Amino acid sequence: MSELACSDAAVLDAVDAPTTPDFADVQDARTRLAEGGYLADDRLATTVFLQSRLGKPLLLEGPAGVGKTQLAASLAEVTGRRLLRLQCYEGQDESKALYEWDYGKQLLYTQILREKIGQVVEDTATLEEAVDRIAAQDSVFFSSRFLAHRPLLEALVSEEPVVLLVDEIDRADEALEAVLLELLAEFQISIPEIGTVTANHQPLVILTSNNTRDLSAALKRRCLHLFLEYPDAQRELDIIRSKDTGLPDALAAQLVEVVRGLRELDLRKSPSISETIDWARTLSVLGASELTAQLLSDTLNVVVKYERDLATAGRSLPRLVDPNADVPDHLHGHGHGHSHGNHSHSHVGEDHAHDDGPDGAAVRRSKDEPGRHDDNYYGAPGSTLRTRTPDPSSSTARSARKRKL
Amino acid sequence: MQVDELLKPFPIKEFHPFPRALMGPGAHEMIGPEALKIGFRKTLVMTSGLRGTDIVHKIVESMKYHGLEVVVYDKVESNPKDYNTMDAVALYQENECDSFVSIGGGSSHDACKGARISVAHDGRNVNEFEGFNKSENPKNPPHIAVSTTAGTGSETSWAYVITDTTTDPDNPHKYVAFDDASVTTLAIDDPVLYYDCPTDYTAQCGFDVLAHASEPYVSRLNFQPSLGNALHAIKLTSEHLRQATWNGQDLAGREGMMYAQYIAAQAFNSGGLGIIHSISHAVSAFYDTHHGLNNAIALPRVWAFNMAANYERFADIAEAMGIDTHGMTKAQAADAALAAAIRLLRDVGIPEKFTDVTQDSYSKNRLGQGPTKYYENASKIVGDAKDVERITNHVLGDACTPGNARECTFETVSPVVDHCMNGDLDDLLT
Repeated sequence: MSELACSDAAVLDAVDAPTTPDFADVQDARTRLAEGGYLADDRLATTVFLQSRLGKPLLLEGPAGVGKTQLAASLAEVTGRRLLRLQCYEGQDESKALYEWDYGKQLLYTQILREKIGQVVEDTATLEEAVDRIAAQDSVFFSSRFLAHRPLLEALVSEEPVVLLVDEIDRADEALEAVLLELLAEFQISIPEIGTVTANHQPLVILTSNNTRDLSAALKRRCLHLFLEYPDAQRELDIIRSKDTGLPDALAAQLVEVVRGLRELDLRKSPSISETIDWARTLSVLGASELTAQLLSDTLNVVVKYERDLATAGRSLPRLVDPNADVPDHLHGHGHGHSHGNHSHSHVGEDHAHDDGPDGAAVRRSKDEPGRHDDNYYGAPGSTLRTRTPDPSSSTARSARKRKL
Repeated sequence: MQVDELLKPFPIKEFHPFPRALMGPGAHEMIGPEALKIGFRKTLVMTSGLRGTDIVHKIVESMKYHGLEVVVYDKVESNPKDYNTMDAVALYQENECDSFVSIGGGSSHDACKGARISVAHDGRNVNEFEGFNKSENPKNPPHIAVSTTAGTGSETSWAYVITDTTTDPDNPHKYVAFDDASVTTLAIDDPVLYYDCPTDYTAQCGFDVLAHASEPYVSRLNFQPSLGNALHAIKLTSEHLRQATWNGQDLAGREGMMYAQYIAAQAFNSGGLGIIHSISHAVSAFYDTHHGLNNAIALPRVWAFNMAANYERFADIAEAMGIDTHGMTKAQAADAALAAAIRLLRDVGIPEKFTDVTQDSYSKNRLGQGPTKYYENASKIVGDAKDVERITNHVLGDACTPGNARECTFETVSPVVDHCMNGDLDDLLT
C-alpha cells in the first residue's frame, strides 16, 4: 500500500462515512426529489447522486430564480437532513460564518465566579504570581462551552446529518472564500484555542452563485460544478403543474411560452421560475379563461419588477401572445394621470388597484396655483412671502390658540 | 410675528453651478476631442434638424471621424414637448448610448436636459421633475451642448423648459424645471454657427437675452453677484442686436450676441426671473409661438408694470442701454429705458402684440416637415377675455413668477396679459 493510500484512509477514518447512502442510484435521486416537489432533469439528478456518493461539495451557478437555493431545501427534505443556511453578503467576516467567542457569557461567568477566582489567587504573594495562576485557568474560558456556533461550525458539530447551504457565495469577499477552503476539502475547521474540529457526520454542502464575480480556482477545484439554466418548456410546465396553481393546463402551457419569450428580451431581470408560478397563481385567482395581452399587461408586474423592463415587456407582449393583438400603452406604475376612459378588463369582480394616479385635468389645474413654488424657490431656504401658518409647537402659536375654558 | 418674518424675502441665496465652456469662432470643431476626453463612446445627438444649414451633418461627421458612434434624434420641436423628450429617452435606451450632444437653440438643449434627467431615473416621465431640484439621482449622462442661436443660455443654466401635453391634452402646460443635475458637462458657443440663423429668429432670440438680463437685475431675489453680468449683457445686446439681425454674416454682431446670451444666462441662473418669462411660457403653451418672440412682446409691458417697484434699477438699465441719463430723475431714466427697448423691438422688426402674430408671420412655419407638428395644429391667437384668463392662471403658477419685482395677483397681472394680447406699444411711451 502506498503512502498516499494510507493518508487517504486516514482522512476517511476521520470522517464517518454516511451509514446509509442518501440515494440508491440516479433514478432514485430523481424520484425522491420529485416527491419533494423538485423536478430535476437527468443532469441535475446525476450530479446530486454523485455528490452524495463522492461526498464532495456541489457548486451551483446560474441566473437568479432557476431553483439553486430550492435544491438545497428539497435535498434536506428528502434525505431527512437538517438544513443549515449561510447567507453570504459583502463585508461578511469569518466570525459571522464560523464561530465567535461568546464574550457576554464569558464576562457573566467571571462575574459570578468572582469569589471563586478570589480564592484561587488569595494565597499568591505578587501580582505576577496571581496572573500566572489565572493564566493556568485560561482553557476554562476558551472551551467549547463559550463558543457560539455559526452555520459552518454548526454543520460540523451537529449531532444529526445536515445539508449546508452556502448561499450566494459570490457576494462574499475572497477572505471568506479562503476560510471555506479548509472546510470544503477536509470537512474540518481549525480553532486556535481549541484545536481542529472534524465533522461528526459529513454534511452535504451546496454552494450557490449568481456569477457577480469569478470564484477562485481553488474553490472550484474542491467542488462538483453544475451550471443551472432555466428549464426547458416541458419541465417548466411540469413544475407549474406540480405546484397546483389552479391554472388550466392549456393556459399554463401558453404562459410558459410567454415567459420564455420574456426571458429572451433584454430585461434587467428576467422572470424566475418562482415568479412564473406566482403569475400562474395570479391569473388563476383572477379567473382567467384565456390569456389576452390586456390581462397579461395588467398583471405583468408579478414577473417584471423594473419600470423600464415593464415598458419593454409590454411592447413585446402582444407579439408573444397573439400576433394580431395590441396592448394598451398604459402599464402599471405610471402615475401621470392620463385620462384613459374606460378600461375593459377581461376579468371581473377583482378590485385591483390601477395606478392611474389622479385625474389629469385636476393635476394640471393644481399647476396654476399661485405660490406653489414658494418653498425652496431658486434653491434658497426660507424664501417665502406668504404668511406662514405658525408651527403649532412654538410658543407664539400656543399663545395664539384659543383656550378651551 | 416670528423673527424670520422680519427678514426681507430670500435672506439666503444660492449661486448655481455652470459648466465649462468653449467660446469663439471655430469652437465647434473641438467637439470630437472634447467628447473623447469626457469619455463618450456612443452618443445620442438631439436636435430640431436645422434643416438646410448642414450644421448637424458637419458636427455628426466630425464626431464619427474621431471614432464616436452617433445616433441622431432630429425631431425636437420648438418649445420642446414631453413626447419629444420621452421619444429621445426611448431611442437612447434602445441603442444603449452613454452620452448626449444637443445641437440647436434652447429647444434642443432643454429637451436633452430633460432626457438626461429621465434616463438617470430609469425612464420616468420627464413631467415628474417640474419644479426646483426635483431629481434624486445626480449622476446622469454627460452632455455637450452646441448652440446655434444667441438667446437661450440653456447650455449654461440649471433650468430647462418642457411643454406637458399629456397630463391634460386640452390644457397644455409649459413648465420650468430648475435642476442642478441638469447643468451640461460642456457648453460650446461658436458664433460661426449663428450665421445661418434667420433674421426674425436672431431678433427674437436677442430679446430673450434682454429678458434674461433685465429680469434678474430687478428681481426680488436681488442677487448682487448677478448684477454685473445682467448690466453688461444689456449693454452688449443694445450694441450688437441690430447688427446681428441685419448683417448676420458679420462676425462682430454675432460674437457680441454670443457673449451677451452667455452672461445673461449666468445672471438669471442665480438671480431669478420674472413674469416676462411667465407670460411667455403661457403663450407658448397654448399657441406654440417662439419663446423669444413672446419675450419681446411681453418685455415692454412687464417693464412698465414693474417700474414703480424699482425705478433705480431701471435707471441703471437705461445707462446700460447707452442713454445719457445725466440730469434725469430715476423715473425719467426708467421711462427712457422702456422707450429704448421699444425702439430696439421696432428696429429689428418684431410684431408689437400677440394678436398680430400669425402662423406665417415668421420663419417657424418654414422649418419643413417634422419638428413643427404641434405648431401646425395650433389655433390662431384669440386674445379675448377667456384667453387672457387662462394665460393669467398659467402665469400665476409659473416658477418664474415668485421672483418678479412686483407681487403678482390675478387682478394685477391680467391687465398686463391683456395689453400683451391687444394693447398698443405707443400707450407705454410718455
